[in-house]
Amino acid sequence: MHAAIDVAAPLEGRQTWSADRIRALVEPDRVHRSVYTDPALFELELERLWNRAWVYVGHESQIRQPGDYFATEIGRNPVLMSRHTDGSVRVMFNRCTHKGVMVARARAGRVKNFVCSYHGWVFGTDGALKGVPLADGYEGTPVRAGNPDFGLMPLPRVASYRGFVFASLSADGPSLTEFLGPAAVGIDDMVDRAPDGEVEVYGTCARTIQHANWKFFFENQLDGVHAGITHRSSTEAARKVAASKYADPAQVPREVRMFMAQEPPEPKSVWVKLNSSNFRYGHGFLGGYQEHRGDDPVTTEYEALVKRKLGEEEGERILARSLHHTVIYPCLSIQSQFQQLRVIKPLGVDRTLMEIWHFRLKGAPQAFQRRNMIIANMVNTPATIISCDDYENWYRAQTGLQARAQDWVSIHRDHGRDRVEGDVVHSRVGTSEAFQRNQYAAWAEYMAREA
Amino acid sequence: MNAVTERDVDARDVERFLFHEARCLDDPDRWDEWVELFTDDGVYWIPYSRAEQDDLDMPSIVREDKVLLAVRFARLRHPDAWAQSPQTRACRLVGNVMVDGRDAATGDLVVRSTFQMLEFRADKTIAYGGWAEHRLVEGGPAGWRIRRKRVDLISGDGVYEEIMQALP
Repeated sequence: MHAAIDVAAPLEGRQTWSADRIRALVEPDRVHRSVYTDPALFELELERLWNRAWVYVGHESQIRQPGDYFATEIGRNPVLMSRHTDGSVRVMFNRCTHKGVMVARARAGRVKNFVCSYHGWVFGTDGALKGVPLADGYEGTPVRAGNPDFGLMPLPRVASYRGFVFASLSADGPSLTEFLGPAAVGIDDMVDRAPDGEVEVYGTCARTIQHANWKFFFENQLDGVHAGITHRSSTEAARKVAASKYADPAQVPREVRMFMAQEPPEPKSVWVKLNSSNFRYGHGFLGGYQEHRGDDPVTTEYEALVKRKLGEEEGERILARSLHHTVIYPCLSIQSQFQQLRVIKPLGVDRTLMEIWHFRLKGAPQAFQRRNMIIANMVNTPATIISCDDYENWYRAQTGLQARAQDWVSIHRDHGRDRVEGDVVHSRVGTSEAFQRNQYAAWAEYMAREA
Repeated sequence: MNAVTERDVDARDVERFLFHEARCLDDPDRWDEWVELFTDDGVYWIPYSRAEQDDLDMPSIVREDKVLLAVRFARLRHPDAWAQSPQTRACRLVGNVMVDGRDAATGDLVVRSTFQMLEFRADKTIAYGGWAEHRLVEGGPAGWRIRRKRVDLISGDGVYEEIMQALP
């Protein structure tokens, strides 16, 4: 219906992206390549998407004591999450109100005050300006301790969902709960699995660069087709090694079996039997994934403990949840069964940072924690033999899409067979591209809305 | 830690073993030979930070036994390892080799060294550097076997420009 608009003209990167032009980039079953490649659109994304959405900042367990802080970014904005002396969690810009200098350079630490390294302005852990050297030089000016105009500026909106802290650069918009909608189940599933009802960050966050547009990551997260092709090398390598080392298949260690499990995309594949549920703002999850259940001693011990704490019925309800990944667009992917959180940060049109955070289930048996950690060590590290092939695909796509020959990227798979229920789009099969269609519909909604 | 004497262990002999190990890793045709340098209960470990002491309960960059190492190398050789087209090449320089002594509990020889590794793929070279701690036992065709190798990258908790495909 927008066929009359030549979306790619004039030259990419130099055009003005009117709302109509932006809407024309996303059709029900295809997406224009500019959404991945155009630097001007990337700049607009920072403004219209990243500066409007709720963006994950960090977990409260990272800042347990007053004075603890964690420094991160929302889009290009350097921000600080800190624990104030009254126990509250504050999120503010990491920028001195004098000359703009970051007041915290380390990624995390503990301070009494934030003291600027340049001229020594002192800010409390709530951001309030507490003092400046040579204060008499500021007599008769608005620069004085306690003036909120010269405190570290708080983010317009900050909210926490079960310990997961989000912030928004926009003063208006949906509340965090409205924003998360049904996708909050990804966080619920992570926390509810803890026998003591709480999770905490542990270990070091892994940080890797994807040489591709940030949206490829989210297109991959709920993709049930790619695994058997992209990860074929590790699957077949594991099968080969298992066959040579173990006469009895039952003796093959669980981590090797997990490598072996990726099935080719055939009609009988487990992926086909799953389905995705997709929500407003681009969120969604792939459900029906049961990799975590089992009758081995480690799983049995853990499941018995959960049921003892929560009761048989409630325990079973939580254990039976079957989420593969939950996407909170545009910043998070949660693998709640294995307590992994991937945070996406856009660095440039073709450059993306991924952070992988590991969570511990409080009260869970050591053997269970250990096993989930082994999965993190296999899949989610800077030396993984799994995600390296995903990163390679996204790099190849980013580069391939420079071709001017064809302007459109297909999201046709199972198009026309989604089941819509109010705000929710259910895919028919786990191999549907329904979630990509939903992500791009949300993308267009953010992007076409002018200030 | 118990001290070692000249008569007990020839430091140059240990150094030659580490050079031999690096050569096996450098050469794709000798990767299996490298895996076989490990004892059957051998562990290869790259923690995220030098402060890390616990390889079983804390996440690691790599924490693999012989089976997982064999899977890693089998994948690197697989024709459809997409991130290996083009292939990675890497070379390692090992120096500052010091025999620290013998572990009082296990009798393993404790050897510390410093390394630099260059990893090249698709026209991009990435430098890695750090320290290795080997726990060695006598035996095997190369004179020693590795019970445990711990690698501490100076950039362990940093940002990785590429997923590391070669092991230091």
